[in-house]
Amino acid sequence: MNVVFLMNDSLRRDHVNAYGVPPPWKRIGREGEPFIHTPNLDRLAGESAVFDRCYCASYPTIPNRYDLLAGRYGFPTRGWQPLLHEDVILPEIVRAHGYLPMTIFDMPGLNTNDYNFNRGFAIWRAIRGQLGDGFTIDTVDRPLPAAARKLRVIPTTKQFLRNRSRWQYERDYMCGQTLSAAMDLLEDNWTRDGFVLWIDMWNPHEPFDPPEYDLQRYCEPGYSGDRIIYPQYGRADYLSEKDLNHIRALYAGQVTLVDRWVGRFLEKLETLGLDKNTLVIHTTDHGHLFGDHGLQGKPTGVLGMLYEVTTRIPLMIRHPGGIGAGRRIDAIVQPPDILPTILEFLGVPIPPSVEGKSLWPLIEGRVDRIRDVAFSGRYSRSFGRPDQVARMEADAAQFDGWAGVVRNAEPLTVTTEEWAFICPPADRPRELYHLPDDPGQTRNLIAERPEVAAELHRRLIAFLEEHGADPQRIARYRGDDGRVQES
Amino acid sequence: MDPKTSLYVVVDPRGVTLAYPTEAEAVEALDGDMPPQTVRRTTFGEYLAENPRGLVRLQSQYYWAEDLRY
Repeated sequence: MNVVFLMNDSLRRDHVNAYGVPPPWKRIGREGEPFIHTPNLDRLAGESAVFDRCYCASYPTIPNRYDLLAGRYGFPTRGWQPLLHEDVILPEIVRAHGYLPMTIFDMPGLNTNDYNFNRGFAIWRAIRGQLGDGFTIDTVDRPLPAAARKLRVIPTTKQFLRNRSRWQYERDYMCGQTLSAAMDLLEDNWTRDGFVLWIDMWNPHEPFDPPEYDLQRYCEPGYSGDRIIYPQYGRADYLSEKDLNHIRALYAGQVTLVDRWVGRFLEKLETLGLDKNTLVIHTTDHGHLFGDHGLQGKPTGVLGMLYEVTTRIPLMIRHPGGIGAGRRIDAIVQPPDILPTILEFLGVPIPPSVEGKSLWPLIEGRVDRIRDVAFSGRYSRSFGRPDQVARMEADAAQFDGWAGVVRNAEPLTVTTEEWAFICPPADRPRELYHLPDDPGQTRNLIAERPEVAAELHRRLIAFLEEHGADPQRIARYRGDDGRVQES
Repeated sequence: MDPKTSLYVVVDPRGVTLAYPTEAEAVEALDGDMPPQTVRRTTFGEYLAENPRGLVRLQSQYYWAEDLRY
């Protein structure tokens, strides 16, 4: 048996048709047309067990990869940082049991600066040229496609434009390159039984720069304004309605590009007969804000509230024998659950270090819940490991725009089937939403339902304590660090 | 943010005020479609008092001024 894991970074759940989420906005000049076109992911969903309540745990990119590879919740104690020597991770676990772990990825942060997320893979291939990856150098500064005040991290965007200048055909786009390499690897191994192929695509993550024919499906007809491929984060007021509409179209075009390449990859799997003995997992790490809650991107610091748009993510699992196919599962699950799910499928013992729970009891319909609450968050750079703060800031800013006001601890989110509780440090206002009545999280019920907030707050503090969070950090969320909560 | 912190302010073509911690960043924010203007220097305290929802860009993120008063 084999496993293929497909990661599409920053893929919003409402941008995969199969999830059936109401469109979050209207597209100017595209009224009456389908909101998003993802026929290949929709087909995969029909053949898979589809999880409707998968919530990210550690956020964003690099912390999420730790959760996935180690099957643990990283954010109580870890931030954007390299793997540690003592970490017990997927490739090393399966390799010790005779499986061949392979990975192909285009996210440069996974193996630069000693991050070592390729550790343990018998075969690994890094596809160069994503975003700020120092892959192409010349003396020509390409013109920015938008006003500088709307673009973030100008030097990084310029490096992307340099890298991107070498692209000519669709296969040159990052997901095209990455999945083409993955398809080559499948051809090389089509008779092999016993591989784990981890494919980490950064698309549809920004820069949002799809082929024109994908963009034209979604953009305002006749639009001639800025092409804001890498928008600034934070308060979205700096964008006009037309700007925002075009950014949303760029993203949608990028999603459709990704969908098409995932479809080509799955077709290759089928052509080679590998669909008969290969488990396929498709997911993302988090969503991305496009004016939702008045915010853009993945803001941090005091603006770092993790709403459903960001936390609730796609996850589908296709068993080669059809187990769970077509099943919609509304149980709360999280990325640390994926490692034990893979290991159980392969018949590999689950190490004691793993905190996640196998999803097979849910997929097979033996249970309907494995937990009643999800914890989502990111590690504040303000607490612990001061020696690494500058390094984490620099790496995160370069690769994922994870930058902000460092003195603030980041808001954490606790989600149940009914409620979402957003807990910033105690001197900032908390938020509570009743998800069945208010899925868009527009009515903060923190004043009306204090008993619910208190219980979820208690659960959060207990979770942080159980997972070894720094007491100084916990105090910020508990509210006993001498600060007064704003009313 | 310390109320005495210097900020450099521009106004975009839609009339939105944007403030930056350095003059160089404010100059970079100007472009051809913006009306002729000079970059105005102020302090965070004054900027916050004028318009709590005026934008401030710090570390590749736009905030409202009132977000930074803590």
